[in-house]
Amino acid sequence: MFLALVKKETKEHIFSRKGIGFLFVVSLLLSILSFSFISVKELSLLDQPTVVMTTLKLLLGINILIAMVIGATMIAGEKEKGTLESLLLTPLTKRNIILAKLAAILIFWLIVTLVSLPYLFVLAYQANLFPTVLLYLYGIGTILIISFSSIALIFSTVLVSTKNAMILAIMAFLITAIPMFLSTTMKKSGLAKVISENSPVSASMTAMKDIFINKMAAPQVLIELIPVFIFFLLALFFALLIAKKVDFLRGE
Amino acid sequence: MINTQQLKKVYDNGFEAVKNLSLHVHKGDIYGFLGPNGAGKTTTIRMLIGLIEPTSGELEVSNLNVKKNKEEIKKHIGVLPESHGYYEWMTGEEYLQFFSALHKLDKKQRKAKVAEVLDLVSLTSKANVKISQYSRGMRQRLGIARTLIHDPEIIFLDEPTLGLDPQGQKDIENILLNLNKVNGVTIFITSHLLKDIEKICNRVAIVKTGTLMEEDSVQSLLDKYKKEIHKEDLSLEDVFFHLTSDRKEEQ
Ligand SMILES: Nc1ncnc2c1ncn2[C@@H]1O[C@H](COP(=O)(O)OP(=O)(O)OP(=O)(O)O)[C@@H](O)[C@H]1O
Ligand SMILES: [Mg+2]
Repeated sequence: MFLALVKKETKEHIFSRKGIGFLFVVSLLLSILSFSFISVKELSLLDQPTVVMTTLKLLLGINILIAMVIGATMIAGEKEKGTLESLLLTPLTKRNIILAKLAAILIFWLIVTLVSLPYLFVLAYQANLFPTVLLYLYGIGTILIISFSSIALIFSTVLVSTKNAMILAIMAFLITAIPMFLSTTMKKSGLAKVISENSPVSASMTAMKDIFINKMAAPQVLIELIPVFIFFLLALFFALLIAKKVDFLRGE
Repeated sequence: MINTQQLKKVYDNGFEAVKNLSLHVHKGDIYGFLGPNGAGKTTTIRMLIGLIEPTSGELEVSNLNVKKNKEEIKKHIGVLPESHGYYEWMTGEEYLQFFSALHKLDKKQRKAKVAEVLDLVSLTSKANVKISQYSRGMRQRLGIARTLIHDPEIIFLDEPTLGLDPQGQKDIENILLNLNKVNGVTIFITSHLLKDIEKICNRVAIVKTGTLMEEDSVQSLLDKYKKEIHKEDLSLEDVFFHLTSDRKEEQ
């Protein structure tokens, strides 16, 4: 019963025009990126870890955004179309519904990463970084994807219109991405310092640098990643908590 | 089948949509739940099926206390909500397959059951057509098929004939009569088509702004109001207007 819903979500959001479109965009981006790294002179001089990191960041960033957009439409969309009421009258629990939608987003993530593996392999193999790339992508990457999709699903649950849920999701994405745009000096003081020290996004960035460039040992990296884990647990916890609020009513 | 006592719903904004409603639906009834727009019909159905909490009162469906058996009750009821949507990208058959899986029918059962309910609503020939290409009447019939997928004892239909042409309305009526007679399904239906309700329902309730005005068999109501409303060939419609109209009868 749960699987039937996962299957339906996958068909509706991933093996649909929208999903295939997203997939196409991601692979196009990867192709352009890889091509530039190889053929543009200035870029081809970059060391391999930097190249790999840039690609990973971009891949993660765009996938988080896509996952959030899909997540934001998932429940609000059913409310808008008037399909949620019938769904709630099946033996599915509200929590099942949230989890099935999350699972579908994870399937999308899995497919995208599989498509990007050849690119990552080519970019990483010389420096022998490919196993590390896999670990980062499927470990930290997956955790980030689940966290952000959960947030999008929360918006989708509490809001009634797909449009609003989507706008909020994109805003949340931009806010969490702020640390990436802060300069190193800015990060040293005030609010920027607080944000960059505690934000899961900057924690995962720091960890990335320490893994690929500084070759830091695993226990230390894990400590650095604590904000990421906390963020993950909180997001998932609230998504499951808010599941009770999944309501068919439109308007109000 | 359904018993409610002093059922009441006050919405969050303080609006009292249903007031002390006591309804009695018997097994095998085709029960017409009638009332003007805003009378509280949809609100009542949503309480009966456990989708919204009553503010107070008792309610029992299929011998189960709805408040205490929210999950169990889903097995006994089928519901066609008031204004509902479909997954347009599915075919009729895929749609029913999907719901049969959600209702935990096992794989072997599913195919036969889907074929059976498609046949019941005469959609077998359209089974493999996308729902986006269905007409309104076909959609409503598909909706009814969906309510039947898990063999419920009672189905709730909230304005199933809304927006259908006369033929479409007749099709639905025939399906319902057949379901009731052959499969023994109890039917709780709301509709504004009083002539049709009079034809297919054995019992009706008439509500006005959340208050129950009458609950009885169609014939008893007609007999009862014959004395009050002086009109030849008294119909359910006349009784309805008599009970729900705000205008006092012009002398
Ligand atoms: N969520 C809500 N919050 C506040 N008031 C509501 C809500 N839903 C319905 N109402 C009000 O409750 C009253 C009864 O609504 P309901 O939908 O039950 O009527 P109905 O008999 O089904 O009408 P119709 O024939 O138009 O379908 C209406 O006045 C409506 O405005
Ligand atoms: Mg209604």
